[in-house]
Amino acid sequence: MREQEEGGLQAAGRRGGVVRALLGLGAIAEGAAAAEGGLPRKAGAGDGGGEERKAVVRVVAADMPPALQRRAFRCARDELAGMPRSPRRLEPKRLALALKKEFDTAYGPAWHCIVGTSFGSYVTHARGGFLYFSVDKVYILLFRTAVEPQPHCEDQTVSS
Amino acid sequence: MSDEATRRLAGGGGGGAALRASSDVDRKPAAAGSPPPGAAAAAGHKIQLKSADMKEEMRQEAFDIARVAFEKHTMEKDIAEYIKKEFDKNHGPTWHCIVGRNFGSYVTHETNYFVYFYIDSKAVLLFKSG
Repeated sequence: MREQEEGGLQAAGRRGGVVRALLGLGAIAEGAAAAEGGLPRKAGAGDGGGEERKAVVRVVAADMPPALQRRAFRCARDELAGMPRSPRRLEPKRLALALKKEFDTAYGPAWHCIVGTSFGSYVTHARGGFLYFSVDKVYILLFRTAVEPQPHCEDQTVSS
Repeated sequence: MSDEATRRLAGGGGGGAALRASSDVDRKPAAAGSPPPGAAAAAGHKIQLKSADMKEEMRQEAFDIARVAFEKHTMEKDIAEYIKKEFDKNHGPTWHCIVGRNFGSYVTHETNYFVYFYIDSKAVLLFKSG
């Protein structure tokens, strides 16, 4: 009996809508509340003590305990905060690596992470190991697969 | 942004060896010229292999299936679904597929079951895990 679920996701391009596929949990908006209507344009917040605006996190679909979700949000925010800001440059591999490593270390293998602004996916994930969320305009897919030791011919190592 | 894909061997515990692979995609389609008419689209899609840990025969199958998927579907998630399901059917579970213009990834895959390529201006990441 396979305890995994399948699902497809599509991250929207610019101004495209996001298909909300809620798996188990309802949509959750976390982080600083941002005005939905209109684009809030703030000049540099130098005179206000320099506090940066918290990135907006939105859950598109999830099958994951809340504690793990919060950890993913925190990790993603921290990594994004450390990336070059002007011009804003996304380093998807770096963020994907950071998230995957943190979750592999904290919760055991095997986790996979996809980060980008325009991609679709179809994956099978372990129960309780699936999160698809966005931080500002970056979409992040984090999911876990069951690791089953299979000492077949798949043991051979590869040299490129 | 780099289009290179990197692969590193990870020391696994007991069982099959798992390799980690990442991909970084940020390709802009050519702006010049009008989009080709529907009829001409059947002329086949250009495929460019970026990184692979997969035997030639299976790679070719991935390319062929991807071509069919792009003919049948428009949305990236539908293309990904088609490819993943074909591989689950032909080679046993569990496969995962990502399709898009702009994404980076870091995944763990089973040995010999990872391929990352471009078909026209979109990247396809296909790997087996779990």
